[in-house]
Amino acid sequence: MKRKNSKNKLLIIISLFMITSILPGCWDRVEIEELGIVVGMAIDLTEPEKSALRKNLETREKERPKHHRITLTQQFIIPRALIQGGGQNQGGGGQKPYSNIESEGDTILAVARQYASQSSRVTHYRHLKVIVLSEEVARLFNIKNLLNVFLRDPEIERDVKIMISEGKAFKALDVAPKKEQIPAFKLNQLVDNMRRSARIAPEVTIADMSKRLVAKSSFIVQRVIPHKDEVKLAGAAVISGKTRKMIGWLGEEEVDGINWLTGQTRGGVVEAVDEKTDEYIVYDIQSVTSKIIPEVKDGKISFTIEINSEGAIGEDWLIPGNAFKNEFLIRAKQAIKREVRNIVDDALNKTQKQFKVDVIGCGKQLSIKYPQVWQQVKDNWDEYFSKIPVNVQIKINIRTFGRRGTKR
Amino acid sequence: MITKPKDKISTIQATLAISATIIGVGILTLPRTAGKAVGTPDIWLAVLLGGLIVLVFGYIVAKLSQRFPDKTFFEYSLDITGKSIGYLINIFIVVYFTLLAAYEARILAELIRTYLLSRTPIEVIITIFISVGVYLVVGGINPLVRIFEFFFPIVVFLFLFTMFIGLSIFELENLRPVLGQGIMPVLKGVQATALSYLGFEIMLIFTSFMEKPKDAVKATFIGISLTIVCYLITVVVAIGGLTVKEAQSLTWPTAAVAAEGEIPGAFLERFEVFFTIMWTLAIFTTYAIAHYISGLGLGQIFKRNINPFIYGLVPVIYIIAMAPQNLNTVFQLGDILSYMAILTSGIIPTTLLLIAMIRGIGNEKKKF
Repeated sequence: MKRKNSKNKLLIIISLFMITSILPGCWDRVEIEELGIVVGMAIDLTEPEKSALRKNLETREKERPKHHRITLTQQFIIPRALIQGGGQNQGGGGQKPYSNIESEGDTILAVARQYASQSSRVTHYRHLKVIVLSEEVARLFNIKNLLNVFLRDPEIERDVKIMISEGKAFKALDVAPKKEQIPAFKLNQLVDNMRRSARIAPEVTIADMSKRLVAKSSFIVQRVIPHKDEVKLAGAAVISGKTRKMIGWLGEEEVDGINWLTGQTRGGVVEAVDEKTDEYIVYDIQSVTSKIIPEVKDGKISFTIEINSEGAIGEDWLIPGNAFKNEFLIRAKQAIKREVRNIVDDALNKTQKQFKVDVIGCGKQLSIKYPQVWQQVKDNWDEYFSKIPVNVQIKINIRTFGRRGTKR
Repeated sequence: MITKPKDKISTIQATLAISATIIGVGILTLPRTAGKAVGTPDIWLAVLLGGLIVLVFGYIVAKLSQRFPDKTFFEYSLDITGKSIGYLINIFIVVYFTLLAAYEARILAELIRTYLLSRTPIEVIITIFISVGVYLVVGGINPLVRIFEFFFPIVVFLFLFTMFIGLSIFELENLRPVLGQGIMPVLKGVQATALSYLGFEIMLIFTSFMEKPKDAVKATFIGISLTIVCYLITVVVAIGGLTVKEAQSLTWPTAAVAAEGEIPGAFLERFEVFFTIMWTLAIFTTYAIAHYISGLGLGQIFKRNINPFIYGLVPVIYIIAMAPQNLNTVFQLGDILSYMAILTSGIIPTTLLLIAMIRGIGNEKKKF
């Protein structure tokens, strides 16, 4: 009996050892100070001279497919500099809290992994916030291929924001912001803050992009403009659902118009001009909704877009501009309507007639209401859409005019 | 000899056992598999129809087992068809559940590799998973169903929570048009969705453990209905959030819903990790049941104590789980399983019930 007991004890001890060796899960352990945390990425085409220099080093060049070389810029956080910078705000001379590492190659993953040979740190993508594509890259490559690696990697979130830069993309990650210390965070913040503005295209995540690309629908992506020491979000890039490449830019006003058409305007103002006096009346937008109504008559497709907006008179340059009188409000309403119509028409013209794409989702509504018709036109939808009449109806409701109704 | 354990389970426990068994790895890929089969946003209709069909087969399984309230399938199959065919059927069922156990273990390992521990060898994950499972399974049926009672509310709560998070990317337009291309795509998809309900056939065995076998039909119906609701929520949220086409292209679409969703203003992110942890519980229950039933089946075929068989199955399950070379082979194993399920939960029970009725074997209705 006693022997059996001690045998059992021995068994327990052995199994305890075995269990403790597997339970801690050390395989995937990485010490936090060994992490190289990537928060932003920019993808550019490699400059020809540079890539020629590179090519001489490569031995197997002939066997590889012809491919444009990509320069990938990864933005790493330097936590120590971040802490120091926070402590002595006006230091100035201190180290930047981030570093941008550039590497180049044919495929994104291979380029990203190159970094491993340059650094002792383990790259960590769980905090990746933004990806900036340069205009060149977006025009040249099928965006599906560019996105592929980000959608595959389980380390990268599906809601990483994506934008397209005017000029070189790495510059957008190299503008040292004043308040937020890290450019990628600054971009991320800009998107969040700018939701209020009527002139900013809605944010696009890699997941959104993927959904639109597989659905073959055209869409717009925020444009980022790097200046000397400022970075700005303005306008948008138009991506064709057919070629899956960027085909052109929309200016701020055109994006404004697209936002009205899709009902995605969350705020902002309209500078309307009163016809009689040629003076400004400024409309403060509170809400915009839109409804796209497809119609098929005798095999002919047409769309009616009903835009409904509510808001307030925020400013006017008329004398006396008496908002207590209804005539004034009616005049204002007409002026605002006229202005909105101009904005909307411009946007529609540019996208529908010039670029020949449907970025406002008319196709989606057609597919819902007339699925049979949609089956026939869906393969060449953008082409069809460019010839379809779109009738826009605008309704403006001025709900209030603030604390003071007249200047008299 | 514990060929016929005396342990009894309550009706609620049986109900939960059914739900817990069906809800396993199927739900992780359902939006993709159903999306491929249907091709239009009407997937939810196909899931509903598939569920209704499965209710019919659930009824047959329960009715068949009720005729032999104190015998498991492995025993009464011999009574119905005679020894030679009976043993053949029994072995088939044992193979089926062994494969099922291995499949669940492998999928769990793949999921953990993708979302949690990318560098941990899956051999280790599977070994740990099976070891924990064996510890539970040798305890017999009562600890098993008690674990279900304990896990089920947790799984349901976390499931609803992740689906709630998924609602943040939900767009009703992605589910429209309803029946835009007629009913045909739905009917084509029904086979795939019906097969995603595999697991309810455990009632072939569990009825004999029930305190009140006459409640078997009720337990089956409620168990399957609970699953239908879960499945419907899953496909509605997944397709509404991802769109059909995107769901078709993702390896783990249900986890992607959790990954993409966010609580506005909250600082929490990366819910798919959370989702994976929770789903470990759901997969574990399915695995444990499958392992238990194959052990029990072997025990009853050879008329021996079942525990040695349960231990003996460990290496078998491990080897089968490790056999598939890549993720596609794993999914192929899943397809094979669903075809086997047509036999185990459809054709075999129906045929046996017909034979039993014709030969007048077993209890006719009332008696108990």
